[in-house]
Amino acid sequence: MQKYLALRLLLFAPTLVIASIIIFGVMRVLPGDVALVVLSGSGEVTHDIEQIESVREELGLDAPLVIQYGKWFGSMLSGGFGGRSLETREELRSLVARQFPVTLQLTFYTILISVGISLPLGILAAVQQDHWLDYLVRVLSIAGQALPSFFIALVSILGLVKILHWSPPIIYSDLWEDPWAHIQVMLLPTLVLVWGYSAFLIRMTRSGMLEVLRQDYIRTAYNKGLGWHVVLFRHGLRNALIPVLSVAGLQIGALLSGAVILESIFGLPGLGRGIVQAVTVRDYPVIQSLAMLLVFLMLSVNLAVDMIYSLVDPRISYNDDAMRASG
Amino acid sequence: MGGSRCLVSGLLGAVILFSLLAACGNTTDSAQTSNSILNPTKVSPNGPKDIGGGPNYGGILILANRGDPPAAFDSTRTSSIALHHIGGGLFGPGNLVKRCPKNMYIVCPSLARHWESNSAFTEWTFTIRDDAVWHDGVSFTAEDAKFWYDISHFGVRVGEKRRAPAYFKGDLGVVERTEVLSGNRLRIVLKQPAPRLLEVLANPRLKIAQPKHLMEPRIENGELSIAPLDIGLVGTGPFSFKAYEKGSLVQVRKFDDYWERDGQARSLPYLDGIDFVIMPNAAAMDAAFRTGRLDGGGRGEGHYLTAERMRGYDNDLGEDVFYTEIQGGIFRLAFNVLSSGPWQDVRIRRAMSLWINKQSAIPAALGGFGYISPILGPNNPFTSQDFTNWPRFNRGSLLENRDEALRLMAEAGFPDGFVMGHLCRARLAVRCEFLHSELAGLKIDLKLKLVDEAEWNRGRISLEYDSQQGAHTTSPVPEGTESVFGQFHSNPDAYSKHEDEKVRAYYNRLRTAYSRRQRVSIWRELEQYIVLEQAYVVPIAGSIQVVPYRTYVKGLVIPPEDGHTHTDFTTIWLER
Repeated sequence: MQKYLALRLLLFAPTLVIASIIIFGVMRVLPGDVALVVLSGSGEVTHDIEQIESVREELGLDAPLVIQYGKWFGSMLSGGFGGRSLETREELRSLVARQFPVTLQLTFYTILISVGISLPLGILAAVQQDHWLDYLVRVLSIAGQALPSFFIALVSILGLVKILHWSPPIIYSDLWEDPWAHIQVMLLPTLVLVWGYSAFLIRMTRSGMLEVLRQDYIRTAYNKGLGWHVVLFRHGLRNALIPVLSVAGLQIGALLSGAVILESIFGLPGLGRGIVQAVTVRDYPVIQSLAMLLVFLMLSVNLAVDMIYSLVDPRISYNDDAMRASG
Repeated sequence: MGGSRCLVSGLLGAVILFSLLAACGNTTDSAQTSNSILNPTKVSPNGPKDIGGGPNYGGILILANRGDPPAAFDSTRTSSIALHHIGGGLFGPGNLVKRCPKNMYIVCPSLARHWESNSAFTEWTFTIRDDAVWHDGVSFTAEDAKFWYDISHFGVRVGEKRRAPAYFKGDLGVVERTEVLSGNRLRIVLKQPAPRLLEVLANPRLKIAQPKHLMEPRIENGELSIAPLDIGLVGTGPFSFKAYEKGSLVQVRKFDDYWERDGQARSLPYLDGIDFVIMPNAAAMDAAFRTGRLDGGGRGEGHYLTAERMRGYDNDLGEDVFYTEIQGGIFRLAFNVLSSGPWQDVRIRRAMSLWINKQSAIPAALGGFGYISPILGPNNPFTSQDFTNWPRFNRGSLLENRDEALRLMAEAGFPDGFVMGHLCRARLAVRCEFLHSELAGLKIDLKLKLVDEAEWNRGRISLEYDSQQGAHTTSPVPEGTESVFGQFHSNPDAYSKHEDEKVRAYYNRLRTAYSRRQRVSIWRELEQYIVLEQAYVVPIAGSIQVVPYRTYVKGLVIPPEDGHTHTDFTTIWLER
């Protein structure tokens, strides 16, 4: 197990280096220039070539690409997290420290609530197959998959204004400073994300359970006289969870991309909104560093999912003997 | 295994508890609670103080702001309204001089109380007021004014490092030197006459946000990119900086030593402070305003109200809301006549100009609020007074204009149209779609290249596109328009890309015209040459920028044009 874990962690390094080169390269291929954005502001001013060149020099954009990459990557390794934003000049270390917890909280709430409602609903839909309850769950989950999160977000904001004359607070509050305000701020974006995220989990749980419940060992367990909850949860759900876990892990990436849009709509000062703003103005260090953070997160989530497999399914083992046996 | 079940049960319990808590937030009470959280000091602790039937002192105004101020609040780097909406309070409404609150086309004293120039307009001397103070208590002097002028015009070089001059360097004239004279005076010596320097310095974008005593030592230490945010946003404006939570909130509070007084010699500002809430999303701003969380809307494209959004405001708030209207920039079609294509033929450009229905652009492309004008606003004293009778501007003759347009297309050899590229700013895509559908009537296939802000900033100063709409410059001064109507080689950001010598000659005449009558006359000739004779640019319609405020917000000074003007909010008071 430890050897497997060490190997996987070791593989992080080349993956991150390759990702950094791709991200850096892609940013330089995209049209647009942060120096022009800095000079143009909202596009209401004009500028001349001399000024553009001097701003480029000031921002270090006139250096060869290799030097720019080296400086950025060196700063990542030395803990500077990529240096400073070209647009706002804020240190990326403090930018990440400020934005990351907001997105992390949003993601955490979403996963927590989604898992909490998806597993029971998925099981319920499978047990009550073709019953009205099943149809209701399916309709809701298909709608959650089909409707874009930004659309649901805008409709829910305007709907609340129209019906309840209520809107979410306009200033983000930290959980530890003002829990009640925090709940109000996070409520709507979390629920919007939950709808989309749990839709996948419900459908995966339902189809997994349907398949497992038709297996011989389930019938055997019933015939042995085991209680329905033991059959469902111990023999059914554990076997149905593997694909659910895979999808849940992969969907965390989609969850983060959904947060990108929702944070802008709901005014949450998180990573998603930071990336949108940075991409708009081609703030290279910010985009690169935040993209690297997301790559690292995805690698970690995938590793965590692989680890959880072995906890859920005893047939999967990463211990050294089993690895040696499998060659 | 039993442990896992416990864990799962615990997690499920936590989720249910959390869901219940979250669901409870969806009540009317929560809105009230939240309002009290967000509006902690509606009035000053001692209660509003009536100062003679007029304004009340005290209160915190809550306004939306389109985004975080870019470039670390550096006014020499950006003209973004996201900065200048806040910057007026922090750094003051102008520079050494400002646009007058009662008439923005006239210059009023600001940080300078007096000024004079020599007869050739090559030497300007400003006497700095003695009562202006930076927010940290240090006096604002001629040394500060010189420091600002020098870094804005010349930039700074320390060793190998370089600080770029300000983006408005070109507007400051061709400066030979600046010098501090006795009596707290600043003299600016220019190599060429600068008769309109006062109008340039009155531009609210040219805010002085760089205190010499705080910035110079750090620049000398090699921090050349130092910006106002790095030194704590110390300005000379009516409000001093209190707090900035990036992505959420900028708070400014009354500066007790602000120099300006109102007409009855009462101290300004009236408000205790302003909270600018960062709200990049206009729908979220609408929801917050309509539910009473904001006292005023944000400024900036996308945040200005459309007719449809205004109906929602009216339905919810009725008499509790009012709207200010500011003339914004003009939506236009501009041609790159340096790129080969049928649009190099003036008949084709005129045909397009005659064909486009300007009035229909207002509801279709400008959100329902707009005006028709050639280049500057219709109320601008420089604008030709008879423009409503010009062909293409006269409302009642669209059919005749369109017949003439078809005739010109045929005469130029393109009765079946042609393909023309168009650089389209994604956030203003609706305008591109309008142009596309209008020009389809002339069988012109407008190929839209939809780009984001970064590429739009690059593309619009290149020769890669056949046509574009240009930047949103709204300089109310004719000389200030050369950068967007002048020759391409010296004005890469010009809307229309041309090298017309006649245009340069017009601007040269403007620059050396010393009387207002001369300037008006030359400008009107130039306006007709660009818009009618050559049709380098087809002005379609100007936007009207509508900003909502609650009716208890009193004393707003709203300029007729240019939303960057009068953002100091000194004369606002609240009558809740």
